[in-house]
Formats: sequence, C-alpha cells, structure tokens
Amino acid sequence: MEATDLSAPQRVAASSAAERARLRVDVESAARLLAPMWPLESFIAVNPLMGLLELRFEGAVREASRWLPLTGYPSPAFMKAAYGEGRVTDADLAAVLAERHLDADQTLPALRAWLEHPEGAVGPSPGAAGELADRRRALTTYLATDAQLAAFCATFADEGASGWALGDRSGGLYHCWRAVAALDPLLRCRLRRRAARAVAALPADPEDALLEALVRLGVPAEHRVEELRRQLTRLPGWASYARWREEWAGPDCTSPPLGVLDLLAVRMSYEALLFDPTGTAPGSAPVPAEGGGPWAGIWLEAYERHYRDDILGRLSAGRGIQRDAQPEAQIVFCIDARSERLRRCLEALGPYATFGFAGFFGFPVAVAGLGDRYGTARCPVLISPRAIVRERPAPGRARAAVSHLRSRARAAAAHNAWHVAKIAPGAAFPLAEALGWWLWPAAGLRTVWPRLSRHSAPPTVLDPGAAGGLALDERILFAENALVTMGLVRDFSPLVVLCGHRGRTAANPHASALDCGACAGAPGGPSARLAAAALNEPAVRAALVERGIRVPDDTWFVAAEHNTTTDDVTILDWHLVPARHGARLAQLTSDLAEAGRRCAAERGPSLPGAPAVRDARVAVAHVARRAADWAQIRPEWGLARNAAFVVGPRSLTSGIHLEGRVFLHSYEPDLDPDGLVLESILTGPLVVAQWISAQYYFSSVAPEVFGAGDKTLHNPVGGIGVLCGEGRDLRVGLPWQSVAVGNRLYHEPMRLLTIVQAPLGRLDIVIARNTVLGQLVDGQWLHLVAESGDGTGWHTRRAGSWWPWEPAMSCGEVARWNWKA
Amino acid sequence: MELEGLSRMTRVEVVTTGQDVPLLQQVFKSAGAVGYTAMSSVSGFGHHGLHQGRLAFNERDTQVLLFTVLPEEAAPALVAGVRRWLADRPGVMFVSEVYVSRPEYFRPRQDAAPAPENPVSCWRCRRG
Repeated sequence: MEATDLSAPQRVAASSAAERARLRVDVESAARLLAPMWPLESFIAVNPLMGLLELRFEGAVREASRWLPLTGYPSPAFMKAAYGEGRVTDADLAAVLAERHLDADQTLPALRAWLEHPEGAVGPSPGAAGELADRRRALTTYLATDAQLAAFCATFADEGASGWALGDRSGGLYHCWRAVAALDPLLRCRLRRRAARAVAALPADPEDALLEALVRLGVPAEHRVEELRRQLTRLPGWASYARWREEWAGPDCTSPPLGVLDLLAVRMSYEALLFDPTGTAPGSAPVPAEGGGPWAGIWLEAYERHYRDDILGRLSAGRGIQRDAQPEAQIVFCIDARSERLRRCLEALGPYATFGFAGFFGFPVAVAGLGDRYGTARCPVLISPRAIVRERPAPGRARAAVSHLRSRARAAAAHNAWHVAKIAPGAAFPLAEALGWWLWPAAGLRTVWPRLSRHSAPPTVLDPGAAGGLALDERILFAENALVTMGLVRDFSPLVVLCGHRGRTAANPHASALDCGACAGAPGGPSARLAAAALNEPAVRAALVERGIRVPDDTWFVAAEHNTTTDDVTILDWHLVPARHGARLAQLTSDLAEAGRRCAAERGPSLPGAPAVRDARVAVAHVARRAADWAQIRPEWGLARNAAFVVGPRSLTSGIHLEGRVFLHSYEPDLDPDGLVLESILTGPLVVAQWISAQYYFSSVAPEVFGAGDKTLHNPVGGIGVLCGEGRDLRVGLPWQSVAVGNRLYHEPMRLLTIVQAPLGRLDIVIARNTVLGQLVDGQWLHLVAESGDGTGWHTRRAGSWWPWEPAMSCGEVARWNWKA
Repeated sequence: MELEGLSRMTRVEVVTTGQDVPLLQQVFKSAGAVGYTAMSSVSGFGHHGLHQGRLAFNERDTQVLLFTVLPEEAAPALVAGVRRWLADRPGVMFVSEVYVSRPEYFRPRQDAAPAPENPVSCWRCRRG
C-alpha cells in the first residue's frame, strides 16, 4: 500500500462554487441517516431514524440496517419470552396476518419457527467476514484512523473538562486539525518524513479538502453520497453530535463548531494520505439487508396490537367517570407519562380536576437564572425561544440575593480549584494521597447537600413582562393559546396549579434525560412560574375577557414542580400567593404529598433493589434514598415502558389505571371546531412524544448502535457525551440501565400508540395538510386510533383509511389456531 | 429590459420545510451568496397537496420561503446546489432576473464584521 503523492496532477486546486454547493447537499444527504445527538446538559430523546421519515418504518429500518449493525426489531429471544408469557398470542398474530391477507394456517408455524431459527438477524458490521482477513493491514490503518479522529474530536469539542485545551477553535475542526496534523502520530508513523510536506499541501478549506480527497480516492460522482455515508458510520456518535452542533445549536452557540463536513474532510484526508487510492478501504460497505426480516415485523405488530386491544378495552369499560362538583383546585401537569400516576392518585384524594399540557405551558422563552448571564431555552426544541426572561430577587430581598450569589461564587471557585488540581499534570496523585482520607465527610455532605441547597436560595420572581422579556401582546397570545389548548376556558377553580417536573439525581451524567422534554431537557419549574405570573397579570386577564375567556378575580395561578425521582411536589413562589388562598393551598399541598407517597408506593416495587414491603412510608424513604445515592445507576425508571399518547378530555381516562405508561394531553373537541388546536397538539407534543417513544424503542432493540451502553463503564467526555470504557465513539441514546435489568428488557419496545378523541374527518384534514403527520401515521412510525365521540366506537387508521376496531379473536378461535399448530 | 441606474442581478427563491433551512443556508454560503431573507410559516397548495402555514408548537415542519439575490455570475453555482437538493426532496425553486439599486449589498465584502452575540439562542450555556 502506497501513500498518496499530494503533488499529483489530479489535485483539485480550487473547487468551483457549484461543486462546493453540490458537495454541501451530498454531505447532508449522507448525514440524514444519523439523528442529531444533544449534549448531556440538555439531553433530548430523538427518533434515531428521524432523517429517514419519508420512508415507511420498515423501509427506514431496512435502510439503516444497510449501514449499521442492527435489526431494528425486538429479538427472537425477547418475542419468545413474550409469547411464552401470553404477552403476545396466536390471536394477535392471526389478526395481523389477516390484515396483511396472509394465510394463518401456513404462516403461523413459520412465525413460531422463526423464534427458534431467526434469519437475517444482523446487517453489516464494520469490516465483516473475510474482508478482515484479506485486508488486515488496511483495517489496522482504518481503525487507527478512527481512534485518532475520535481522540481529536474529543479534544476539539471539549468544553472545559480537560486541563490543557486546544488553541483557537473558531475556524472549525478541519482548520484546527490541519494546523497540528504535521505532528499527528499516525501520519508521522506512516508517512515518516513526508508527513509535514503532505499536510502542508492539503487545501486550506474543508470543502476543497473533501472534494480533493474524493477525487484522489476515485469515488465516482454517482457513489459520492454512499461513500460519505460509509465514512460517517465509522464514528456515528461524533457525526450525530456534529449534526446537533451544526443544525440545532443556533448560530450563536459558544460550543466549538464541530461540523459534519469538517468531520468528513479530516477523515477523508486521512484516507487520501494513508490509503492506496486504487483499492477499496475496509468498512461498513452497504450490503442488501433485510433488517429483522418480515417475520420480525409481524411479531412486533402483534405485540403492539395486544397492548392496543388491552388499553382500548380498558378505556371503553371505564369511561363515563366525571365529576359534577366544581373542583377545589385544577392542576395542570405536563403530558409526561410519569404525571399519570400522580394525577390519578391526587384525583382519588379529593375534589381535584387535572389537565395535561406540554410542560412549558405554552410560553416559548429562555430563562436566565438569578445571576446568570445567559438564558436556557425552556421550550420544545421544535420551536425557538421568543425572548429571554431573567430571574430577579423578590421585592425587598435584594441583599439576600447578593449574599446568595456571593456564596455561590465562592463555592464555584472552590470547585474549580479542586477540579484544576485534580487534573493538573503532577498534582493528581499527591492530591489523592494528601486529601483522600479526609474526603469522606465531604462525601457524606454531598449526599445530603441536594436537600440543603433547595432551601438556601432567597425568594425570587420570574416576570415574563420584565425588560427583555415578552411584550404584552405576546403574553396575551401565549396565555390564550395555553388555556384553549388545554381546554380550560371556563369554570375556573379558586386555585389553578401549573405543575412542571424534574428529576433530582446525584452523579448522573444523563440527569437531564429525567427532566422535562418540553422544556428542552431542563427542569419545568421556571416555565410554570412564568406562565403563572402571566396568567395572574391583570392586563392579560382583561385581554382574555375580550377573547371570551373570563378568569374570575378570585382565581390564582400557582406554580409547582413535581420531582419525578421522589414524587414529591414543591409549591413555588409561595410568597406571591394571596393570603386568602392560604388554607386551600395548604390542604392541596397536603394532598399532593399524600398522592406522592401513594405514587411512590405504586412504582417502588418496579425498581430493582426496592424493599418488598408495600408500605407508603417505606417506599417514600426508599425513593428518596435512591435520589441522593450517587452510586445509584437507576435512580428512577424515567419514561421506560411508555406506550401510548392520549389526546382527549380527562373523562376518557379518569379513574383508569394506566400504569404511568401514557402521555396524557387534554383536548376538548367541542372547543375546536376548525381543528387548529388538534393540529397544534399533533404537530407539536405528539412529535416530541414519538421521538421519546422511538428513542426508547431503538435503545431497547439496538442497544449497541442506538444505546449508550452500560452506565458503570461510562466516561463523560468534555461535558457533551459519554464513552463506554475505552470506546472511541460517543454513545448515543439511553443507557442500558434505563431500559433493562440485567439481560432482561424492562421497557416494552413498541411504536407509539396514539389515541385521539376527535371527529375522524377533522383528523383526516389535519393529517392531509401536515406532511410530518402523514409520514408518521401512514408510514407506520406510530399507530393512530380515534373515536368521534358519536357512539360509532374506536377506529384504527391503516393505509390512509379508518377501520372499526376489532379486538383479537375470541378464546375459541385462538384454541383453533393452537390446535391446528 | 434596462432600467437606468439599476444593476441586473439574479434572485433565487426556494420553498422548503423549516428543517432544511440550515442546509440551504450553507448551500447559499458555499455558492457565494452574502445574505438571504426567510419568510417562515408560509402556506399553500401544490404538488404534494395542501401545506399548513403557522403551527403553534412546531417551526421545523412548516413551510419556509427563502430568497436571495446574488450576482449573475454566482447564480449557476447556487442553482446547481439547489437542483441537487431538489433531486430527492419536496420543494420548489424559482430563478428570476431582478434589478437592484445598490449592488454592493449583494457582493461579498472583505471587511465584514462578525455577527453580534445573541445570548438568547445560546441556550447551551447554563452556567452563566
């Protein structure tokens, strides 16, 4: 293998603008295979195949499995266990086969046989089969290139975690790499004295460099996208992070600008320098792949159908539970599936009405905490913050706030000093020797510190109308949208609580994954506070009256925050609540605490290592201990086992035990004759919920590709992601402990079941005028079930049409299938 | 057509979805365009049926109209890039002749100042 001579005449000296423009498009086409990966500070669950949404689900999985080692379906072993437990039955399978016009007599035996002898289980793996043996030397270089590039990416993207930062990174990855590539150990090892000359001859611009490398490697124009995709799938984690940085972070983000094209330019420059241009480099070349094969798809659909029949049966049997009395309080929770338990437990305790709405409560803003210079977005990533709202000291508490900020700055300085000493060359070992024994009191303090810190901050206010915030027109618009969308436009209770949510865990790199997805992976308390402030504003209320929404003068909006790790609820901004509501709020607080205890008792047994005693006090103590335990790898289950998204009035689900598996979005069809509210819900919250569902699905069925691996092996990198052990690439998706216990999945991998109560014609119109909905629904990325509320029952949408829901066959029919088999 | 005192240039308009805007920004830049105008949440009816305009909770899946004006000699590069993009995606492109009074606004400047910092969209920075 000869290294390429960079002075060869075929060099592209200065690419034309047209070639550059085409290259940009080809790079993006190649990168569509990979979803963006949000950094750890704001972990957002995404559909890993969101770039292939224009394909149907099966097609997208098949396409992904051409490039990545995955099947995209639950494994035969998983399905075999589910089949044995009755979680999926012959009746479910027969129903799916009937829908596909397949003969059940012939197909069922083949389906069962697939459980024992699966085919087409795995797509290509990097450097598969005989290619490895034949091209061992080339592969060694290839792997070394991966390792070198991954290490450089980690150095480049570092956000202050390393003690010795790279120099100026504003020019991008390629510029930075080219400046130091002459010292690159891999290039020096392979090219020896020619390394410096070869690097100096590389084009200064990454677009030119990539075009030149493509020419040198002899990649024809018609195969360019495939080659670029092959290159990206060598380090899909870093490529995914680059996609986020380039497309989602915003032009003013201060993170180092790691771009997909830069990544490709560096990688292909390595190849152009190190590989024989006449040969084919080893790697994950695309091969025809079947994904999990047709049988896997049928098993999955039957598995999903079983759950669908179960929940629709429960909804049909349990409907009609509706309170007539005016509730003492109305509590609006986030649609997050973890709210379902708390809502049910609270409603059982007293005259409370609950609602479900996206946890940013309709106010798309960024929030800057007390003393913070920059704001953090508190809205779904599908929309941009309209303004920045700054937290300020409460009236008369400015001195306390200053004192608090000073002590926070001192703590930060001490932390930084400790961090610098810990990573400084030569200081790490003496530090451990000298102070290691004295650190156990600090470790103890760290365990209890989360509780202490919660009470140390002085009272503050979040006024959305303050300078730099939202204009009055915007506050009115967002307030109206929020109330109409959640269906709360009349019969207001004296107290209306807006309850955001967050997780509270210790030493958890993926902590933000437990926070509110509707708040861009941040705690939901600030969103609740500013929405409550806007809805209590006299000018906003006066304008709402003109729009037909009269909020009584004695109604007060209160902000609260649900800690999903412990299930306790904290009332925020107590100091703003008028005294006349004191007794009512105290009673509500007491009931929320009791609901939280019941909630903890209900979900406690599902946590590994939980005490067997089903006692509320024991459960509460246990979940609190888990939250503060910084050795705990599974502080809570998060959204594992999420399964469905219900859009409809609470009367549809009230009193029905949905096991914390269902996203609940309030919707009153009668208030929405033109379907605009329904459209907002289906194009916003539903899309986010589908991302969450797909993230859990693929982290479960393809943990090696779309999962973050074992938490006990995680090494956080630069504050942006994790490596697993000595792994080179960033790990995307959820840790294995978020979806499984040991080798057994806790999450049930299914596509999201969407249940809507709305006229079918209205749904048709909304789907027809929104491409994304057509792709999701008719591409089978989710399942849609609806009822008009006119007594015609549930209908499922299949192939663009509505079909009356029919549960799987009766027991007698099932027995017939079993007997025949 | 000649208009006294005006300079002839080329206008390229593209209708796409919000999620493709970052890519098209890069294509515009690679082709030599120095700026563009975006009209978000545009609605219409066309080859792929009805397209909804404004969505309350989703800016990525609404239609966006992007247009830019650039020197005639730079237009073929941009057209080539957009045509490659349109090969497998929905969307439309219109290319037309326009006349502008200040052509220097649409040519690259050597002394362009960096864009001012905007703390709102820098939502990664939580530490303040």
